[in-house]
Amino acid sequence: MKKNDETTTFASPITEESDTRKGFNAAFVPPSIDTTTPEKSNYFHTTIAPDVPKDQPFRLGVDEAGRGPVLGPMVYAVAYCPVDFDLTHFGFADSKTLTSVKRSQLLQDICNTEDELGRHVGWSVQSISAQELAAGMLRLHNKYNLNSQAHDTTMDLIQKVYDSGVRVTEIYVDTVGPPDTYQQKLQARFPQAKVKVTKKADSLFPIVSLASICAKVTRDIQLELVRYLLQTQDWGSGYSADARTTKWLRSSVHPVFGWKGDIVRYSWQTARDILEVASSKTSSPSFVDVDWHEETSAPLNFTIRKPSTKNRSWFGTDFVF
Amino acid sequence: MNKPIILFENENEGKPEENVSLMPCFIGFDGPAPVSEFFHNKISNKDDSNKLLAYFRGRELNGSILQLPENYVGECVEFPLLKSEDHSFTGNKSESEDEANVSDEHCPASSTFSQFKIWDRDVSTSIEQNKWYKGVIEWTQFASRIASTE
Repeated sequence: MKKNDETTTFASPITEESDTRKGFNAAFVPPSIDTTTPEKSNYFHTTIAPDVPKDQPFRLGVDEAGRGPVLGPMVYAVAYCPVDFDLTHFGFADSKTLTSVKRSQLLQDICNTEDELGRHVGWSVQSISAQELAAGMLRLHNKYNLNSQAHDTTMDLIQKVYDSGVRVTEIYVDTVGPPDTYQQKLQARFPQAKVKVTKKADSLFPIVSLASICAKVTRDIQLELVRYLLQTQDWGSGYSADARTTKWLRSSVHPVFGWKGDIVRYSWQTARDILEVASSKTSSPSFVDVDWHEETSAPLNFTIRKPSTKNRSWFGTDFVF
Repeated sequence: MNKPIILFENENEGKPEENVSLMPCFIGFDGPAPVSEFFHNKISNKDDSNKLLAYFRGRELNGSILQLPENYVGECVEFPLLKSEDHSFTGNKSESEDEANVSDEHCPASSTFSQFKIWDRDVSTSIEQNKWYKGVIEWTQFASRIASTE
């Protein structure tokens, strides 16, 4: 028996007359989202039902959502269930063909702990905020790159599952880059399991498809919730190839500060072209230059003025006493 | 060339204390901007220490509060501009002239501050290493020793 859709506190009646872009466009808010500060990084985990023994072989799947977009978080998810629990007749086999509505429905099913599926499946999510991603990439020293972050996050999520007492014996991971080195790394880290890293793992292994759904729904609803709380117009999927996204970026940018909401990845080239590059065709006519003095390798001497045609000093404007 | 004359008035009561931050970057703009909304209102504490944490254009900044030494006060001074200058964001940026485009009237201090925030990127050193801290604290101490009549 399915649980009724919970009414969310964000739902507003979407009528044809009302401004649909301002309403909250989602029926189900997964528990993996922090609804007070959805723009921030967040860790969430569930467990399996107490009467399901943890000391039996479990398989675990890993997938992510939101690696490429210029808006919103990158979300890593793991999902696990007993090896002898049959996932195939729940509809996870072909995740590539799932619509967002169907994905949302499937995650609701997983969250229903009264059903067989919800009782036997545990899942965890680590959502890395746009702010955290950009700050790591924009650091002056020890820049944190996406791949390192991806691997660290994945291993951390898996370790926490082990720490909760679940005996994971099979690990399946979807990867974008070359699988072999990553598989060796993971296998060495988790020798108690058989590790399989492969591309398109979400279409090969239902448990990965399940993790994929947890990640995608979490990211999609998180992004939509931020948009709703900002009361800003539809910004599309958040990918720079999406015309709605680039339109939103260009129209809502503040020339000094950038964008409200801590939702834009300032390290992404699309964002930098609009905010930081004076001559690019996408920057606004109100462009404001901010110089971080990154190109000088010598220690910063604040008595030396930066050479420029405007003859400006290091801070403030020039005036002569 | 007209030189601005800054008048420091003694009646500082009633003048609000500004939220003042010294940034580790040059910002090529000096008109009005929503600084509180984008920056000052979003400052948090770094890891439960008294170090401050904020972000500007996606870069993480670590900050400390620098108290001005006793008997020193900070003044925020606004330079009134000639009518021909336009602070709004338009498509036309006129070439800045070499002469200071300021009125030759006195420029009153608009507000005062007794402390300000110093910001840096990727910093793990203490505030005493910061050159601005040294500039304000060490030099004023040094100067008072030199000028001491004892």
